[in-house]
Amino acid sequence: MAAVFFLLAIFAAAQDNPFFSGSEPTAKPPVSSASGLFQDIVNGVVGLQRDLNARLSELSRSVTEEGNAGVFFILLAAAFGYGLVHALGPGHGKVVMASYALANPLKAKQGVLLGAGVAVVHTLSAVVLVTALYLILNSSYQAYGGMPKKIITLVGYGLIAGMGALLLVRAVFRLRRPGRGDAISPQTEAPAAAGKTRELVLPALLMGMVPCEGAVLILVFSLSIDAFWLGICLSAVMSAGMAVTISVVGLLALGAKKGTAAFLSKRKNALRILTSLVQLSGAAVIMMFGAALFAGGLW
Amino acid sequence: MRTPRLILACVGFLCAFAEDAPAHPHVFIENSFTFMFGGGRLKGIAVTWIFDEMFSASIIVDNDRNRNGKFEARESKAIEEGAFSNLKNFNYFLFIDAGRGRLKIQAVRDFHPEILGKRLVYRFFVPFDVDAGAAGKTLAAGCFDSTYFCDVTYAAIDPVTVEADELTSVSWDLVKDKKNAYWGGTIVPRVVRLKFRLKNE
Repeated sequence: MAAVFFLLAIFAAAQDNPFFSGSEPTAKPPVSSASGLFQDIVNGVVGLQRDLNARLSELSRSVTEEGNAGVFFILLAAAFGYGLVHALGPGHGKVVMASYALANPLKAKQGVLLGAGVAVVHTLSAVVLVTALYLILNSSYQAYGGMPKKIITLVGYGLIAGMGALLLVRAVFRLRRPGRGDAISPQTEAPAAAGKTRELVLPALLMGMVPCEGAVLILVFSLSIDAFWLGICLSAVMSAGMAVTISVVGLLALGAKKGTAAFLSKRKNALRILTSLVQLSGAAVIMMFGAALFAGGLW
Repeated sequence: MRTPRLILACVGFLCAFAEDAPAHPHVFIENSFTFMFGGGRLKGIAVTWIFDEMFSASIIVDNDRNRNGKFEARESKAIEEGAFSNLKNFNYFLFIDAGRGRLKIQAVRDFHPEILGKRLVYRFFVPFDVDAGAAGKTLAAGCFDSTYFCDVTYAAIDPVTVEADELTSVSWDLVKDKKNAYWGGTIVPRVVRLKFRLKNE
């Protein structure tokens, strides 16, 4: 299971902006062409994002240059949809989110909160970045796009790998000292074993600290039309859309864990072994994923 | 019922890890090619890219320092150095094959950025030299970013033009290039299949 997750992590490595210095192609193994139906679906979704991207800029101008207030709410809806679709792409914490949900006993509500937290931090870091670059330092995104961005992303990936390592150590510790709350039975896990919600703050910070490129582009665009306030609004709504996508990933992982536990509900030994494997695998994936991205970012 | 729950578990895992789902690109480019001929030879391709407004704004805000809506020579140079030359590492998103495998582009010429309406436009020339010959040649030329940070489509109007000379007969069509499918095989690029030969006397 860990080997499969690792391969997925290789495919999931986000690509830096190729226009800026320091960026080189992220190596991916060659794959054969997907089926025609899947290609049609992909092309359809990409076409939707292309249209949404154009619509966001057009509607933004309509709101600011023509004072068309009625369009404002349509614009917010477009931003929400854009966030929803945009977070399907790599670089938005989904692998780490799903692995964290596997490695830790979480309630469904906590899964949603963690997903929302990742999305908020991911967008907030873009707001902080653009504010710092343009309004404080009088610098540019182009200047950031090279070495400074590389450093921030390497730090982010390194911290994720570190979090994975700590989770792995904890999972091994639990293996050696099994106790209450380790089984993932559908009836007992959530109330007995789930940690405190405030413990999710650090994972959310680590998973979301690298600024969202999509949000950065929206914010810089809003600066270009002298409407930074609009960029903040759109980024906030976009993060709500991303929160839905990321949370759904976490909930699916929790659901899969619960479904598997229900399947093994009459086989306690198998359930105990699977619990340990799932927790170890989830933690290992986070560690290896972070390490793989860190290593990839070095070259 | 165990089977439905197992199915739920499998589907759950698959969906949760569908990391290679589409909708990744951050930049959207409309590409067009002009194939330039002279003396019975293909001399190169003039490439034009028109960017989406969002990415355009980021480059314009960063480089049109005097806010006059156009790029002066110094500003163009800054764009070339800071937001174009790195594309050499990505072969300028170009796939050109004259029958000897993908051409590794060493350098391009005449890079010229401009602002068209609210959108950024890049123009540049890719030089190479292919003799048409009496038997004729076929060349494949495409533009795509296999990392999929950028989504490249052909311009709706005049995606391909040919500046032929009186010695050469040229025809072209757009074909799907399944061999170069990328992003998990989900994106199949379209390439220009250009056929050209010396005209019979």
